[in-house]
Amino acid sequence: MPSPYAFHVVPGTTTGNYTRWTERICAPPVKYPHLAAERDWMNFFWGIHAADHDVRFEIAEITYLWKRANTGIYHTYCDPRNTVASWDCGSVKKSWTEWYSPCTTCTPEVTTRYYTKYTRGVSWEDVEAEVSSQYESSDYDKYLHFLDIGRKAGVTY
Amino acid sequence: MWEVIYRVCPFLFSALLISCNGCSENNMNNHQEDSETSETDSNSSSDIKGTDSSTGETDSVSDVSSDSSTPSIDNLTGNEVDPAINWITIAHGSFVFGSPEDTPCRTPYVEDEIPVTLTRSFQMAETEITQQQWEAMDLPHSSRVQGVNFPVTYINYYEAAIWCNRLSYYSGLEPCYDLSTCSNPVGNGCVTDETHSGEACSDPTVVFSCEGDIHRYPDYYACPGYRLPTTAEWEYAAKAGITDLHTYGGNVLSEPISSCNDQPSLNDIAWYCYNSGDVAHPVGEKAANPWGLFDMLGNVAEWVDYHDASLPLDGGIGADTLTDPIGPQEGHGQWRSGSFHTTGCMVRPTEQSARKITTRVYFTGFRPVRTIFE
Repeated sequence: MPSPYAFHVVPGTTTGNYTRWTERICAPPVKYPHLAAERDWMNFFWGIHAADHDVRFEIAEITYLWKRANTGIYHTYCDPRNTVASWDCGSVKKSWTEWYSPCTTCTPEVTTRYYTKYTRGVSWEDVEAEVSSQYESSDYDKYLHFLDIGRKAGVTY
Repeated sequence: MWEVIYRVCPFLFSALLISCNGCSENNMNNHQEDSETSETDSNSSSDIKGTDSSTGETDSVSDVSSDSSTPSIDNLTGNEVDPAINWITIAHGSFVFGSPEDTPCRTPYVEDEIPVTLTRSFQMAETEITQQQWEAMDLPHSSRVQGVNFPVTYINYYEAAIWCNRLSYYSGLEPCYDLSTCSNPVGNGCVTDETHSGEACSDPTVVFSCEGDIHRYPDYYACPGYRLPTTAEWEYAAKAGITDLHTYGGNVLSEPISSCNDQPSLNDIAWYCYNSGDVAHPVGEKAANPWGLFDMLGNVAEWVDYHDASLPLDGGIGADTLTDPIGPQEGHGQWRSGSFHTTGCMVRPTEQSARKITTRVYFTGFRPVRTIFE
């Protein structure tokens, strides 16, 4: 049973009796409210789920959209190839071989270094394109609800 | 008479226009604009695309006819008639764009408050363009609810641009949009049969759409012809000088997006989801705003000339103030005003909806403006 108090209508902690979990647990730093990306996304997911039945997104639908938006590539493998901030990432590589010689006359030795596995993020553009593909023609209200909640939650930039 | 001359011989029309020192109102405006250009106004025709930087020569009124002498989608067909629009003059001025952070249903970033000055007065159509006014420019439409005084709908940004260009040509004014890259028929898409059951579509391979930037003037405000309002112009006109309330009907109450609750402050001034029956209504039935504009909130959503990148109006640079803002050069298009289909708390002068610029949908139309060259 979704709360009747969607994120955008719950009074703030200073003005009402409802204290949101997100405000207690993961409020952004006071000086950097714009960095509260996690809370923005939670607000977004809650907003698209806790809606009237006609436009409501169930968890399975959200999962499906995200998987589709990822075009089947869910992880990437990265390794810092140098000490500056240059990362080498790929979708299939899992390790790479480094050849080195301890001295100029020595036989090179071989070592295998492994890439670090990261879950690949999805841009808003990717998600929007997918929700457009799934709903724009067949259920325009649901499509607009998704877009509007994204805007209101601040996750579209 | 001028329309007749223009249709018969655009070159003759331009020659007459340039030499005219005081004829009809429209031609007087052109003359004033020319005079401005000949002096020092860098925002007028000298900013038009096509300026030859090596010679300093600029496109001028005479180029309007040469452009239009080539077959183009926005050429007049000869079947146009006066659309009989009541124009409201909006005096230039300053206002605060955006809304306070505690505004119900507010969108972060895009509604960030920032002082804006509009240096040019403009005329704005008193109502949303009706189906009769749309048809006056000899263009087809497929609005779901048919009626001469109903707003035209299923219009995307580019289709609105065609209508504006045709009205500019019809009125002897330079058009604001270059539609030479456009393709697909006007009025096509979404509606599959006479039941108008289609809701929306945006496929650029089907609907009328254009490539690249279609603006003939990088400074939109400097275009002499009819055009869509900038987002700042639209909001300035919608607020109509009101600074302490969300609408001229009073404060909008908070409610969940996608719900449809009663908003007492809107009932006398706007058609929105609670009172509309989910259909468009004839224009001008609700009370006008303090500047005499009808349906600036609700009824049909209105295209504005703005590329929405989900950023503040200043692009996020933290500007103290903006003068004649235009915004990003690419991104989604933007709707304003909410609609008969919209949750009431989103029917506010500051609400902004980012949509695909090719979108045609049953609850979106437009309202044109024209800069007044003083």
